[in-house]
Parts: sequence; structure tokens; C-alpha cells
Amino acid sequence: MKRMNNATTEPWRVGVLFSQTGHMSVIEETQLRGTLLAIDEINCAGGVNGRELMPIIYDPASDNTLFRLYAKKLMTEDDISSIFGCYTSSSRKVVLPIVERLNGLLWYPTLYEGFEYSPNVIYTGSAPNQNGLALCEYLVSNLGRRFYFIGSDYIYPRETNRIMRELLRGAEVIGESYVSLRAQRKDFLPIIRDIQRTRPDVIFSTVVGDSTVHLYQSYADAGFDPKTLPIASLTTTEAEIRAMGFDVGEGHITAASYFQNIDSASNASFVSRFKRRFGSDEPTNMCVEAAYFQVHFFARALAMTNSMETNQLRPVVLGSEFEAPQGKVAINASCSHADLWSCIGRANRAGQFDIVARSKAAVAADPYLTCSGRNAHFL
Amino acid sequence: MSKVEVPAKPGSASLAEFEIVVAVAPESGADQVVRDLQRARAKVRRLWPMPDKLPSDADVLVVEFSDRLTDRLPWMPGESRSAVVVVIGPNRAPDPARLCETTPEAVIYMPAQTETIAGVVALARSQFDYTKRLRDRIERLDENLRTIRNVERAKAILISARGMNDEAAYKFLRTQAMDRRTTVNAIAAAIIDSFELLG
Repeated sequence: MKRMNNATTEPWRVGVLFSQTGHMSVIEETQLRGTLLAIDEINCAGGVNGRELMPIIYDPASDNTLFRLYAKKLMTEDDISSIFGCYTSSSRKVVLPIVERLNGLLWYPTLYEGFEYSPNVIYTGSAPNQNGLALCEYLVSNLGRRFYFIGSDYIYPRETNRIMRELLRGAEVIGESYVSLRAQRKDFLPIIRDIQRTRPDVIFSTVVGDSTVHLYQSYADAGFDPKTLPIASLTTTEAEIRAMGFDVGEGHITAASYFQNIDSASNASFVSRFKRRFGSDEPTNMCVEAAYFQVHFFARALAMTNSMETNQLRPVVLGSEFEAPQGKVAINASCSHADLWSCIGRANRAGQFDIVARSKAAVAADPYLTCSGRNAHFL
Repeated sequence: MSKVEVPAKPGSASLAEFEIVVAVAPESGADQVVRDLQRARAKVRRLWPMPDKLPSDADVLVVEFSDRLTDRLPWMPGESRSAVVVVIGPNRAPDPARLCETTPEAVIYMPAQTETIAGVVALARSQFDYTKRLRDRIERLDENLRTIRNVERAKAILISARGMNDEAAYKFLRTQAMDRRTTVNAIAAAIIDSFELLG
């Protein structure tokens, strides 16, 4: 009986795992903010069925060992079933066996390399058919066919480059280099020299975290002009542009489901709420937005099930829709990935992305590229 | 925050609301089994004498072991629809081969210590759920592999029979799927089937 009485007032406890320190904190901290903004909004509106959401937040400090430890702690000591978290694929991969075995639900708000389907994950970032495909088509038709790949050395860049090679048929990959996730400016110098020597039409980067800043800054120092030879990326957001300097970022290209510059009433309101909470010079980005809207998906499902049990929550989440800042999105019931918009943005002097191409609607997630053709016809 | 007595934890250690069929002989301790499960707030349905076929709609079957128990289970081995906990009466030692072919998730030897039964049953259900999630995942992966294979084969057919190029063949499959409101895989499979039919 004690449990029944408590059930009416006790908060709904959820886990939050984003790095606030270490080499991934530039971007993961923005995901933490997106998560907290949504939780605040829900709590200000009275919580879910009269009970507030209470985040249990740990800082995994960009260390996969800590991701693993905290995921276990959340599920076995804090008795939590839904965890919002993870940016890198390697951190997702270490959390995955834990949530799968203990039947938790990991809400993963990050673009990734696809080729995964876990019944214990809701994927709310882009799969390759939603960002890489659009980027390939744009680059080949606007910049040329000779590509140079630079990536951080871990799962996501290597897998993404394998997929990009496949999507870029007819184009030529004239170089492929990897640097450590903790790469400093000097580590990019040999690559910069290689680019000067090979003269590609476009550079495709899957460098993430702090080293993104070092890459773009060494590129600027070497005197390259992004207007004629830009770095194209799926991961460089407004947050990284701000960290590297607006002048350094100007002219470079990113494909994403969301940019702060998207022109819609729901986005304008989202951006202004974010700035009010975190400061007027804090930009939003695709990772903030996914982290934000996935909490709303969760809360809506929770309102219906009134239970945190994964077995009850997940079927209600699958197939549900939400008017996100990027536009209307849905959780595709066939693969538990979100159907998201495809956008190509080019960074401007104000640190924002001018949107140069955009899909007409949300693109159905196809994480295994089972039926995505070679062309992103929607652009 | 106060700890609750029976937390609804992930992996569901709680048996609350679970429908559990108990088909155990009175002399093996059926009363104790039912009492323990009811204390954990499970919905218990008691069946005795042992029916020829056990029901398939329960969350967990707690059943008295016998050598021909596999014949009484309402499914083929490998296709179970409930977790199975086998109860072995006092002073009985089952043949290991017979026990294995029953494929239970857990075994309870009677007499059991007080209040240990609910834990064993919850564990059995958790094991069963995990296996099921893995099987669902494998099924989905198999389906994806079949789709990829079918799309590639159908594309090859379109390229050779219709003289399309790679790009046009993909586009054809996608457009057909969209127009007919079906999946690309279904269209691809239909093309392969009709091609094989016509030789």
C-alpha cells in the first residue's frame, strides 16, 4: 500500500548521461541543456500526470568506462529505466549491453553511422540516409567529385566513411586520414600538407569534439579559402563553429536535421526559450534539438502509460509524432529511429548556417540503407 | 527519497499484475508456491490435476516436473510463449536430459526456503524477456538482410531485362513502392518471383 500512496506524488526519475568535462563536452553539454530545457518546460506545465520529472545527472567526463559504470548505476542503484544520453557511438556501444540486458530505454539524440537496431534504444539523431545521402548529392553537384576524408579515429568516422564511399559512387576518394579523438593542432599539419599536395574538390570531415576546432583553425592558418574548398561535415554544428571562431567557420558546410536558422514559429519560440535559460549568446544546434524533442516524446508516452516500464512505454513511443523545432517528426515504428528532415547549411559570418537545401518533409529513417537509392531525390 | 518495498524496476523484478499458472501437486508444496507468489502480488491461476495441455496465455508457467512434460507444453521447443519454472517435488532427482529438453528458465527444488519462490519466478521471467528481445532483434536483422538481397537481385533483373541503369532501377523500385503503398522489399520480391515464374 505504501507504494500506491507514494505513486501519486513521487517524481518520475530519469537518467541523464552527457559529458560535462573532457574532450567531448563542447557538444555533449549542449545536449544536456536541451534535455534540461525540455524537463523544465514539462515540470512548469505541471509535470506528467501531476508528477514532476526528476533528472539524475552524472558526468561521464568523455570516458567510456564512466559511461558504462554510470549506466549500470542508474539502472541497478537508482532504479531508473529511461536514460537520455550518449553522443559518441563508442559510448552508445558500451551502454547498449546494459540497457538491453536490464530492459532499459536509451534515448540517443545524436546522428550516427546507422546499421543498428536495438529494441532498447530510441534513436533521435540522423541515420546516414537522412544526412550523408543529402550531403553527397549536394557536394557532387556543387563542388566536384574528388574527395578527401578526415576523421577522428573511432567507430563513427570509419563506418561513416565506408558508407560515404558507397554513396559517392562515381566520385573519387583521393585521401583518407584519421587522427586521435584528442588530436591537437600539430596533429593536423601532415594532413593539411597532404591536402595541399592532392588538391581535392571537397574535404569531408568526421572529426568530432575538441579536435574539430583544431582542424578548422589549422585549415584557416594554412590559407585555404572555404568558399572554394570547404570542409563538409555531418557533425560540425553551431556549437563547434562558435568554439573555433565565426571567421574560421565561415563558408564551411554541414548537413543536419536542424539548424538554429530554420525559419518557423516553433523554432523561433524554441530558440528564444533556450537563450532565455542559457544566455543570449548560446546557440542551439541539431544535438540540442534532438535532446530536447526526445524528452517530449518520452513525456507524452509516459502520460499515456503512467508507467516507466520499458515494455509499456516503448510501444506507445513507436509511431508517435511531435511538432519539433525542425518540423513535424515521428518515431518510425519499423526501426525505432526518428523520421527527420534533411538540411544542408553553409556557415555565415554570424556563426549561423544559411540553409542552402532542405527536404520537403521528414525523411523516413532507413538505418540499414535497405531501400535508399543513390540519390536524395528530396532536395 | 524513501525506498519502496516492491520497486517496479527495469527488467521487472516485480511480479505485480503478472499472470502465473501454477500446476504443482499438493504434496510437492503447491500451497507454498501460491502463497509466495500472491504475496508478491502476482495473479495466480491454480491448475491441478495436471492438464494434458498447459495454457499458453500466462506470463509464467510454474509446473510440476515429469518425464513427459514437453508433451504438455503448448508449444514446440524453441517457440515458447511464456517463461517456464519447473518444480521438483521432495526426494526426486530428474534425469538431466529430460530436464534440459523441457527448456525451463528456472528450477525450484521443494521444499524451498520460505519466501524464495517469487525471486526465482521473477528471474525466470526476466531471462525469458531478454531472450525474446534478442530473438526479435535477430528477426529484424534477418529481414533487413533479405531486403538488401532482394533489392540487389531485383535491380539486377531490371538492369538486364529493361536496360535500366543502376540509378533508374533504384528509382523504379522506390516509385512503385510509393505508388502501391508498400515496401521496397515487397516490390523487389514480386519482381524476383515473376521473373522466376516467367523464366
